[in-house]
Amino acid sequence: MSFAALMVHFDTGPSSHQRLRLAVDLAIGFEAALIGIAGRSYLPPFLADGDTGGTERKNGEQQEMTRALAEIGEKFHAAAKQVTHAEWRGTPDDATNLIVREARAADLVIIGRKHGLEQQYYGLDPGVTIVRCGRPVLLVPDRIDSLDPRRIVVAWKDTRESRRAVRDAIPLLKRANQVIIVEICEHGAEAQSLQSVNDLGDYLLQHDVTVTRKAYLHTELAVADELVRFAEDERADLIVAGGYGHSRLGEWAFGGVTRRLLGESRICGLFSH
Amino acid sequence: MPYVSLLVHVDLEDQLGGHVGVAADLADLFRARLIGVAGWAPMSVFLAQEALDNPGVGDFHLQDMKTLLDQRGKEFCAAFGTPERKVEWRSILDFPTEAVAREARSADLVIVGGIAQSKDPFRRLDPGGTILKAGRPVLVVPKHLAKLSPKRIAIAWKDAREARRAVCDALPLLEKAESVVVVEVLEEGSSNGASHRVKDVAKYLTRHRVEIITEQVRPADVIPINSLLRLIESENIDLLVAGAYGHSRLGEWVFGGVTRDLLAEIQICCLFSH
Repeated sequence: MSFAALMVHFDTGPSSHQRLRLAVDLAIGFEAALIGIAGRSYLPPFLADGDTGGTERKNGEQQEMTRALAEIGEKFHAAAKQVTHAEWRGTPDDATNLIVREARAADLVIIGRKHGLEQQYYGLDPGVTIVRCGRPVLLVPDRIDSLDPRRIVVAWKDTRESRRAVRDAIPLLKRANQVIIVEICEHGAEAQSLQSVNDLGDYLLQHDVTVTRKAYLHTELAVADELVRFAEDERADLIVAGGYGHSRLGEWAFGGVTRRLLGESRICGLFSH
Repeated sequence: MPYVSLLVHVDLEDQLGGHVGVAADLADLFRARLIGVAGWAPMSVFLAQEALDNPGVGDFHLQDMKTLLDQRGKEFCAAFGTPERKVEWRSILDFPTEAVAREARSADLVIVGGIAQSKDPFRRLDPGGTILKAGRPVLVVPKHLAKLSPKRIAIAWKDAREARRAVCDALPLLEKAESVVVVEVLEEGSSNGASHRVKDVAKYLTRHRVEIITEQVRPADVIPINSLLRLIESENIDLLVAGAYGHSRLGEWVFGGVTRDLLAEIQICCLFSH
């Protein structure tokens, strides 16, 4: 099993074209189908121009959104010409909800970073997407337009999320030259860490992935900083990590490490929950 | 990703066979290695970790437990190891639920027996706990079954993370199936777009070279799993693929109603993902 279908968020936001280029290359590389997706939600009345009342506005807005999405769809098809199966799903709905829902059609969801307020109604929330979509999410930093994952850092912690991430990343790991496991290890748990990393190496070997190096991070503070620094020192192309989160009063609260990785890393990240 | 490594929980009391036999058959089907795990937790919770890792000469109780576990391992390897089938054994002095969930990192699929095996809480595996903790798909084999040829598979679809995971996790089995039914049982307020959703799942499966797929949308019964059970009976289903819905509350695992009922009542093999 490999990736048979990829999904990419393609909108008018910053770096969308770069992200699409990356997705097209990946789809060609894996001979996978590529599904482009974008969503638009209604502007709340106080942000909309002019008359704010009634269904008239809503209808007009809906037409406008559908037209805009169709236009983006044309751009998507133009850019994805080389992909054998390209499909466009533009829907007037909140982008995050839409992608979470439609992700059932893909093996990997490719999205960009969260942007400021001006993107609030078109943009999507990477954290929520990761926690809810049930698929691995490839987060592409701004201005990155290619991913040739020769050097991959796996940020390992023996949890459900990390296990998911590693298994989800196997198609990419198989193509890498260098796979480095970094165990984030607590003081006093070294023996267990060693055991779990060895087990992981053994598991990956069964999948024809050779782990080239194992490293241990022994830090209590700022794990994310250390991880990113480590990955940069290793000139990694991709970080694979568990996406941790839990629901608190209906909001998705994110594990500190995941949040920092989402926000700061300049390297692509693959997250699973 | 293919199944290259399977892990099966081995009971200390029952006859070898049942779900262990199913695991061995699956290992052959996928040419995967088979890891057997047995767990037995010592009574005292105050034992130091070192004592658990390496039971000393003076500690007869732990020694005896370890000997018994290893003995079970020898039986397992003798019964299921063949030149073609690579088997491995792990004896663990811990609760089986914990032990299996932990060791699951080495495997693509975990196979356990259904509810109610041992009466001894220190040796009993709780399938539900394993499912929620393992981070891997778990195949639950009802007690009376010793064989599984997953020709007709049903997917209990619900548009949630868990069901999506289950579909991905089951791909190696789905690829080998003769027919696959994607079924969504309607819940209150979910009827909109159900047929679109199951079609979308079918399309996803087609991209993974799963050939014969049918889609169904079924109305809910008063008891939700009855719709599923009826489908299983009428379509002669061998294996059900489903998401396991549950969360931990104050250290206890709380299951969604359907998952709990499925675990308690289903008479065929069921692959759960969380």
